[in-house]
Amino acid sequence: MKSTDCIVNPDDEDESMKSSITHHKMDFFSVNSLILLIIFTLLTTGYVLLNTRFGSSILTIILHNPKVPMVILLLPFIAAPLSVYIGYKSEDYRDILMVNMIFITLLLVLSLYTDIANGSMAVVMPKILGFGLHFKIDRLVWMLMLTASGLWLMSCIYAHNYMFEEEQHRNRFYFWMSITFGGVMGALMAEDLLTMFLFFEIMYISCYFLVAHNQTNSALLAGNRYIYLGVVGGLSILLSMSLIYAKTSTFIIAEIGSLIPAVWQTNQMFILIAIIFMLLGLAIKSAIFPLHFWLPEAHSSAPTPSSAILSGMVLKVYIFSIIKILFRAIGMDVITSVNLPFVITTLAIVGMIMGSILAIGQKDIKKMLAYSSVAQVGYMLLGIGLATELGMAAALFHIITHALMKSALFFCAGAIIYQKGKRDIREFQGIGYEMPITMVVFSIAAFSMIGIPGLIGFMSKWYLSIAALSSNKPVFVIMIMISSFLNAMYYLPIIITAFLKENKNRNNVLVKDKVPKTMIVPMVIMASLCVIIGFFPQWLMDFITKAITLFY
Amino acid sequence: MKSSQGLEKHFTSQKPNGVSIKDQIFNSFGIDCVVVFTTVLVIIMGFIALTATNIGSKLTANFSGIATISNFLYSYKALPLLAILTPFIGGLIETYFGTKSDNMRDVAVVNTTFITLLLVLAMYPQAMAGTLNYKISKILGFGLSFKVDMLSMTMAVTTSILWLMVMIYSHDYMLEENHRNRFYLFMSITYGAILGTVMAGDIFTMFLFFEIMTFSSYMLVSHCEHEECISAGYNYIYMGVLGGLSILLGMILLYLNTNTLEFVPMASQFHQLGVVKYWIIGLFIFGFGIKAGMAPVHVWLPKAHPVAPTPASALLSGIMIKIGAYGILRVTTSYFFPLHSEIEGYKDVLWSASKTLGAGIIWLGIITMAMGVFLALQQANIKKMLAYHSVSQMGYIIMGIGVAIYLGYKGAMGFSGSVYHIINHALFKSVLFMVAGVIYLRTHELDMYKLGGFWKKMPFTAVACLVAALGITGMPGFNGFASKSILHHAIIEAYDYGHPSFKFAETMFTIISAGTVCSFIKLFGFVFLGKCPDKYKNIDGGYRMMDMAMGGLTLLIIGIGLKPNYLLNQFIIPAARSITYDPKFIDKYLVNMNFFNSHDMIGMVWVYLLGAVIFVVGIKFHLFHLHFPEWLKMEHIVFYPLNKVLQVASKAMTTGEQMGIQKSEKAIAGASSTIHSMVEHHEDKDHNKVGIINRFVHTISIFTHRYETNMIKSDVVIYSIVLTGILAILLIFS
Repeated sequence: MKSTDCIVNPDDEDESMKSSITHHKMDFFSVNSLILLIIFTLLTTGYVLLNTRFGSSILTIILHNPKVPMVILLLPFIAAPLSVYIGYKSEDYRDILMVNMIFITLLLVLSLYTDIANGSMAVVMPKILGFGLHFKIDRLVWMLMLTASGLWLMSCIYAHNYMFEEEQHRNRFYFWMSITFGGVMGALMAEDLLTMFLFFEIMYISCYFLVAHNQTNSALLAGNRYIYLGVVGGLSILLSMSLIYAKTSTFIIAEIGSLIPAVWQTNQMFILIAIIFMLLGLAIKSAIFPLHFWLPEAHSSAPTPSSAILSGMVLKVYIFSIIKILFRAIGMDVITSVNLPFVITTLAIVGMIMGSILAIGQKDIKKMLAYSSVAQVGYMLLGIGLATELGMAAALFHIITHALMKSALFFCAGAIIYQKGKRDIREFQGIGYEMPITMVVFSIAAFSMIGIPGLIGFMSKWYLSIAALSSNKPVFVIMIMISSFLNAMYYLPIIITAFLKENKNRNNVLVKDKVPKTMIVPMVIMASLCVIIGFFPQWLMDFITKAITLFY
Repeated sequence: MKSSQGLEKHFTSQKPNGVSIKDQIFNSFGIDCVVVFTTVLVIIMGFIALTATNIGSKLTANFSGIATISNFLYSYKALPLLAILTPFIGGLIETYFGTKSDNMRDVAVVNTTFITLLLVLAMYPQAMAGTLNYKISKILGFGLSFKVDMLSMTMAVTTSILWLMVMIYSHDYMLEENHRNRFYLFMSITYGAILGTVMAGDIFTMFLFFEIMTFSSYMLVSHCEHEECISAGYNYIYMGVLGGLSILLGMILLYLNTNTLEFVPMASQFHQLGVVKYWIIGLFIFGFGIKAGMAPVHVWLPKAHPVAPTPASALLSGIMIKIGAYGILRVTTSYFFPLHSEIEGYKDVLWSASKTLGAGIIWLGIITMAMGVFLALQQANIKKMLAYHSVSQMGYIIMGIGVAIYLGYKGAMGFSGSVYHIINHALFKSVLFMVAGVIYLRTHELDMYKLGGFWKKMPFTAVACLVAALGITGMPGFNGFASKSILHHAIIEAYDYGHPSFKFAETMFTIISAGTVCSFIKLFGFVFLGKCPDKYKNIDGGYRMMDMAMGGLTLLIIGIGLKPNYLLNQFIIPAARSITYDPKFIDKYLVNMNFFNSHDMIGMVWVYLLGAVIFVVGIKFHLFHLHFPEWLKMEHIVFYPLNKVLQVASKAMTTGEQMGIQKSEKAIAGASSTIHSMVEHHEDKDHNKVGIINRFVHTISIFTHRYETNMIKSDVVIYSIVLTGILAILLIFS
């Protein structure tokens, strides 16, 4: 590996610091010159784009191009094999490629905004896979795509140093990371069931390689469990799809939505079975409580950057698909007439409580975070199960909230593993003095999980409680409170151990983290987003409320 | 004591740091403190002069400069925000200085607190006029809203003066402890949060700052980092989180039912709500009551206060628990009180809800009082005794609040009594904790039976202790007398106007006061009188800065005691007038109240006599060494069933596991690591001392190990369950 010069080895930090200064020459002057150069370029491009005819035509092409979603979809799939090829030459260039690819995707997603600001954008690729691929992007999808690409960007930046130190087979990792990204984007945009299914399968096969990446026995076991259950879930979704197709002869969600009420009158049992299998499949994939057992092992044995995206985004894709299918394809009337909200909320409540209780018993920090994900999925499901717009808004808000908090927590856990090599939370004494930034970020994210006002987690609990109470279900609010208390019971001891207990080998003297900046920056960004959105939640909430009105 | 051993270890490990206490007055910190202290004295004098006489209006009439300043003070609305932000920003600056030198940091600390005090005092004109409302909308979903009326003002001024004194005091004391920068940072955050809580204009803002206070003060409680601190801290933080969640639940219910979170009288709206209103208020009282150390949920307080460093315990007992009482007072007088215009008089139907609630709160207060005092009598550790007295004195305050609500329109006496007692208790209890701190610094001993004869060694400390003890016991001429006699009047009114059963409450009140007297005779007698043990023959006196801080508070105690009407007229009666109380009642009974009447004075004589009798009897029959059996402890009674269930459950699970282990040991030799941890847990938990939370965690971890992990390990089970499930569904529906 040629690119060791920018990796800081914790043991001989001083030497490498010196050498890095002589090699890179990044003194204040050159940094200043770089900043000036960037500002100059930005100003010039801005002038060209806004004031010349040539520029404005480029702007129109970018902003109003119906092909942009296609590019977004294809980029990861093209970048994946390319990254392997480049990875054999130089690891640094591969990581640069990945980060840039995701950054470009992020920019493209942003450029879509003009098209979807007050409506939606449909893209069709006819004649592929027999039925054609249908995509539709509305505000909700756009929001989740933005979150996904932001999260991927952060984890790829984080992964650069982490993977180099901790894991082998990095080319394979980046390959599947990229494929998963494409799968997530596709599944979010999918407008027909077949496309959705296709990208689901892409996602879980690529996630399998992320889960089993370590190739240790336990990782392989966890991977096996993951893939078999994924297959079971996938088959059950496929069954349900074919049942629906048999009655409506279409896969497109909007068309199903308009046909279902008529079919429901004549073929109740048929549709009911379809719904049950669809929910069973999605429940397995999104780890809803009694079917969660694959999750803790899978998420904790994956390398940390991928644990962050698995918990932060991949689970949410399935949950968002539940929303899409339930409310757009099947429709509110059918859902309420089979008393589905009751079933979903019951599962959600049980998941919320049991996920937290099982997390209390964990000693491995990543496993604990994974169990906490099970509980948090319960929150989102509760919002969905209320079957009101308020509930749905709260669920979507929590999807974003959880993506931010959980990825920050996983990043912190990864940093601890990177620097200390410890995963057992009982061995974290005094770690807050060795890794202050990491543990402060951890504390912010954990407080947000518990629901301290001023942080994003509190607002999402607040919206959820308001939604539950306005549909006259005070019991749910009490359950949310109990679950918050249980959250406190497993997050607080970690913080307390880290900051207040004395390590046997080391006095509690404050030093800076010995973690590379590429790992510090992503988690600090996540934590500051938790605080900022916690202070101004209405920015996000207004967006979501407007998006929901455009969703149906 | 285990705690003192733990601390001892700290001192020895401290030595290499090269920090030794030199009692120099002429360092930067000392000079700064003297300057600030004198300025504060002058300012307080000036403040009293301005408010009690009409010098102020003459000055503004004659000097244009002063008129501009006063105009500015009347119109500048962002003062509350400034006052709250100063400590928060100051905390960061302090930490920065702290990396340079201790003295510089402490100068910054004292000055930040001083500036905040000035900002708080500057709000007085607007608070008096009742016009200080400040809103920051577009933040946190609901916006922050600050409203400073005289009740908030009273709390904020008490907090600020006390904080300044404790900060002056803590410089010398904290040199004995580690992690001083952290301590001061969290101290400042707590200060800002407390100011935010008392100045909040709606329950949401209040809750926000209340939670910040809970978490930042946690760091103060478990500052010392030894075992006892951590476990007391766990108690504190879990109860705090529980309280916060119950306030949150109440808030959500309130928001949905009334569609507002502001503190406005809304009894008429509540009147139509039915049972929900009792839920809402009950949740609030539970949440704030935890912080206030109210009877069934006080368990954290006697554990947390003694283990905190002395400056922190002085503030915890002095201010922090009052915030709970303030919360109860604010919430009840807002939500259960009607507007002046809505009611016709004392018998209006809108008062019925507050009457029911008030009666309950009075009895809660009485129980808290009694329990606190009886447990305090049994303590040998000075700080523990003081902590139990805090519980007991909170009982007085809560009882006052109860009367304030119970009597509704005529409740002004209870209201002013409780507010007055909040101020007074803050003063004398912090002096008492400071005295305990001085004694601890010199002797490293807190068991009062092992001390004695210190009045010669540290005369100033002895005087301060005596003054504070006279204050807490209610000697005429000291501040406790004023508030206690108002509270006494209040409870008498409760049975005059209300239910006759409160006659019994009044008797309890007298007996409990006597108990307080007795336990302070004990404290002063054992620590300062008697024979000095040989071990302590050579100890020095107090520290100058600490003496100055105690002296300042002692002056306030005596000042209030001699002129009790000033505070009543300038702070408390305006506060009472801003709440829906009968103005005629206030004019008749409270304005220019005659405290030093023969009836109250003779009543105090009886209390003192009774106290002395209890002391003599107690010493004679060794009653003070009685220890209540384990099962009488509050937490034991409340949590006993749950505890037992968990114990049995974990036992059942571990025995099964051990059998399983034996089997598996034959099969696989390598699985011993998990077994080890299981057996460890099992041994850990067999004795009864494990706290309920710990036991819960242990049980859960055993449960997870035994079932969840096993279930996950055996993939076959999972697949068969899923597949049979699918098959079953297929069979049923096809």
